[in-house]
Amino acid sequence: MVSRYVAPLRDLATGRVRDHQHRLSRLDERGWQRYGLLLDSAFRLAVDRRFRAGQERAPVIRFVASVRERYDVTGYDLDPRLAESLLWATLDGRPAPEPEQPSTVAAQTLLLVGLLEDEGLSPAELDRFLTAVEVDTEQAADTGQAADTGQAAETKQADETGQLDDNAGQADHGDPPDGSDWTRP
Amino acid sequence: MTALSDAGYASWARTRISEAREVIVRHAVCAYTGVCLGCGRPGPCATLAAARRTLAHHAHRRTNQRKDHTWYGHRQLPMMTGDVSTPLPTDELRAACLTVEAAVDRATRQLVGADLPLLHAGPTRWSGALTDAWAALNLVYAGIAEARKLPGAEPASVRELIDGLAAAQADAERAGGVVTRVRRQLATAEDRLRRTSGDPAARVAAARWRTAIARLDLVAARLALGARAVDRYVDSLTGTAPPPRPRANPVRPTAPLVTGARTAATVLISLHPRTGLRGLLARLRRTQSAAGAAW
Repeated sequence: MVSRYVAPLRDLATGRVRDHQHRLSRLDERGWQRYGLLLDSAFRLAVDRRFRAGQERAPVIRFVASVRERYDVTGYDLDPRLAESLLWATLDGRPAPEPEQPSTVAAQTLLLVGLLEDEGLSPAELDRFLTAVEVDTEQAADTGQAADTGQAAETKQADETGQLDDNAGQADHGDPPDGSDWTRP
Repeated sequence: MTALSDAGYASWARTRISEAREVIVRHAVCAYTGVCLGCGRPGPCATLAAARRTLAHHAHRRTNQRKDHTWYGHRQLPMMTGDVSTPLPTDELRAACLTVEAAVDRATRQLVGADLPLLHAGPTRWSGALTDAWAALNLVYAGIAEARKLPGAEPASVRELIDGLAAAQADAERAGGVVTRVRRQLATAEDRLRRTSGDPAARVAAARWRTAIARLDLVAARLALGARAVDRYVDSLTGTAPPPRPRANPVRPTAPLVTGARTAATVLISLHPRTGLRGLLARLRRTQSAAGAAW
């Protein structure tokens, strides 16, 4: 049984796009943040299952070309540079480039659908994959919170000793905007 | 018709299925020698064929029993996921390759009499390459199957196992290269056929080749996934820790997330507009509105 935040991803993978849209329309601010994290984790896991770090570029280029070809009839042109940079960033262990752009989210979603379509997961395998995505997201969130807590403590300590200027401590990206704990729905 | 009750028949069928599965596992064909590992006869032996027939008979899903995952365009082909404790269904992939071969045959028949020597040369080149790719794919699956823990059959040596898997992986990479080259040749031939000939037979042949290209893409993707699964399995055998995955992007602003997700959903819906229950309802609404407009 998947959580209500994973359900939109499940709908995507099984082709129930209208159900996916319906579920997205019911998400609140916190739900969207959670969905963004899950999408990111699912994308990274799916890429890791298909490609390996340090491999040659040709298979990645071919995969992006095949995804672009699939959506050619819709008139939507997936930016090949963005798609490839997303894949390489994942393989190289870097964060996604331009994560705040809508085109990045759309590209991640379409590439994820392409990867899962190619894998042709059975329902049981898809469940296992989504469970792994949830676990990965929880771990990432926990690590992020630990890192952020450590960073905040360091910032506080440095602030007390007067070593930082007034803008220090604003680069904290690990907490939700409302300060709540979005890792637990 | 059967004299058994539903529950009785289900129980009987389950027994037959489990027996057939055991026979299939016991009578696996060695990909290297082509000999049945269960009885030593040239494989697949008659026992294996009978077990496959039994399994197909009892496990066959009728068309009116379609599950939710069989929507249009979604290929329900189970794939190895690194979990080598479950059997790997190679039949689906075999069917995919046979479909490609059938497409080649049909395309060749369509082109009989056409004065296009290049187009005749194409299929002969890549049908041989496809056979190579399929043979290599078999080797990959044989490597995985031998690595799988069967009841009471422990692998003799981890080193031998890893060496075998590495060989299978090299075969997969080589086959992937062959598939890619063949796919390029086929795409060129298809493109040229579409541009140079308006003959209906040629158009049909080009459509067949298009299907074959899609199948080849699938074979290449499966080979890549298989090679990655072997990678992970070897890592787990050698105790090599996988490289740490990067931390997910922590928080994104909601507005671009919403816009991007909706854009992707719109693209996917325009690709498959009539899927799922909501797609059915949308289709019904559209039909009703069309009928209203006609009145």
